[in-house]
Amino acid sequence: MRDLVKNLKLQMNVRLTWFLTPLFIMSAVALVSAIISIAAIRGGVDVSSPEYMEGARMNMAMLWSFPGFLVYLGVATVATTFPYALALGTTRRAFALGAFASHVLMSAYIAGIMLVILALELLTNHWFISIYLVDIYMLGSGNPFWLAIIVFLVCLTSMSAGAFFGATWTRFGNRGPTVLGIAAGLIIALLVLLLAPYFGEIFANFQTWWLAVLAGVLIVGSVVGEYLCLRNASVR
Amino acid sequence: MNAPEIVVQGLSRHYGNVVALDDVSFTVPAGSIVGLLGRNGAGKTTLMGHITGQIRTTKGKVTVGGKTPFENSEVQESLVFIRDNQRYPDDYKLKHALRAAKAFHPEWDDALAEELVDVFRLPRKKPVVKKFSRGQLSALGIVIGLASKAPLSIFDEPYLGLDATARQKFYDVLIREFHKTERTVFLSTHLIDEMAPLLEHVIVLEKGKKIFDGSAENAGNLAYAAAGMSPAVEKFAVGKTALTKHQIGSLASFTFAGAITDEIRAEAKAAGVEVSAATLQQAVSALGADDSDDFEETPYRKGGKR
Repeated sequence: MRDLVKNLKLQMNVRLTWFLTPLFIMSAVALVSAIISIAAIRGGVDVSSPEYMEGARMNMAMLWSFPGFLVYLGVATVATTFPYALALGTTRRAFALGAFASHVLMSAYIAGIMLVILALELLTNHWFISIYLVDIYMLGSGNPFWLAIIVFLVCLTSMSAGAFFGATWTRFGNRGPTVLGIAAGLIIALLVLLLAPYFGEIFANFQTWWLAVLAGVLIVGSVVGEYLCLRNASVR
Repeated sequence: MNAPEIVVQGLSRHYGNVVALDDVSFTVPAGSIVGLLGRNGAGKTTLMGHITGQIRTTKGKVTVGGKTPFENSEVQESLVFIRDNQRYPDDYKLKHALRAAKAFHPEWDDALAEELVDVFRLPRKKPVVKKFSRGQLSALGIVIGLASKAPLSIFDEPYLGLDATARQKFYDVLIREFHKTERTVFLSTHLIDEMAPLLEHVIVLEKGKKIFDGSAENAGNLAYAAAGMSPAVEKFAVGKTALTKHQIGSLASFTFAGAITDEIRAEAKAAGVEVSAATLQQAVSALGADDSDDFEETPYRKGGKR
């Protein structure tokens, strides 16, 4: 447990990056969304109309604004932190667990902020001027349970995948991420080819929890892959 | 864990056809300052990687305090290993590097860290560590290694880029802290004569093989130098293997492996040459030279060169 805690402290050491950057990203998204909404109002659009609300609920900016940063953070938690962790004295197992724990905490933190934003959004009737930041279809249409689950899994998947890529770089150098990227692309292409005839059936019966299962598989696969790479990695 | 004893038995490591370590065995007593010497590529960093468990041992055995270091939390908690090219997370500033080190080492000494940061004039706010100069990076490694008070503290060429004043301060503080806290300090260096007074135990590697392992005093028996007029030194060298040869004008100085015996002293006197024990640096340099020669009669060509 002590090993886990010190690795967690190592990962979350730069508090600006870990705790303020998500707030900056959300603020930027909120600002842009507000500008668009105000511009629409000034342009004479009736933002209270059902048609406008329908369109606004397709706004996925808040969801898509995070994965880039989180994948980077996932890569950094392994690629640049691993050599220092081993220099200070830790096992690879404890390091991988600490990295994963930091990803879980970050995902929970972002999900928590999103819940607060949702509460404020609903309380203020969408910020008084029909700004739809998190009360959107992709985040459960205002359902806090679904919002928390979706945001948490998207964040954790992004960070875990980033950490896996970082671990392949640590283990294999530049070839690692290249090969992993190509392999991932090939697997996706193969799945599309195999499942193409069944797409209609799949979409007709689609259940949201399928995505949760898929995210779970990706997270577990990434964490296991990361640890296996790190177990035999030389320190650079 | 108290200052640990390090035991290496039959350790070998190959990278493809390259032999990094070849059947290396030695024991480092607990609570000593050990110098790991040898040329670039001799296998020093690889050896330190095995001792710290950063490289998995595949042939031979390494124990630290009686335990195998690879993936052993008890051993890992007791050590710090600062590499010559130690990397830090990209966004770390000085305070982050020190705060992380403190989290890993319960005996961390804040006052010592502050003292060393001031002595080495490390920038506290800007820039981030990855933009530190070569000397600042070395200084940061020294701060972390010493302030950690880790029972096993390992430094890989810790002086790179440091000015003479900073190096001397490092040596002074190392000795001071070594006497305050029981710890085993293991360091590799090329500044052998400068650091020799610190070293209690010396291990010399050459092309992956251990060629010396013993106390620093005994390291004086590794080699000796014979100097004098070229013909006299040349005559003295007959039948011996010279590790290195230096000639300036009509004067020559050759280095030979081994200790000076009474027999050698008498032979030198008869030949009219001066013999003296090589310094540790001269000995290590000579043992790592690739130009050793077995001398026969008339070893020099015309013009005094072989």
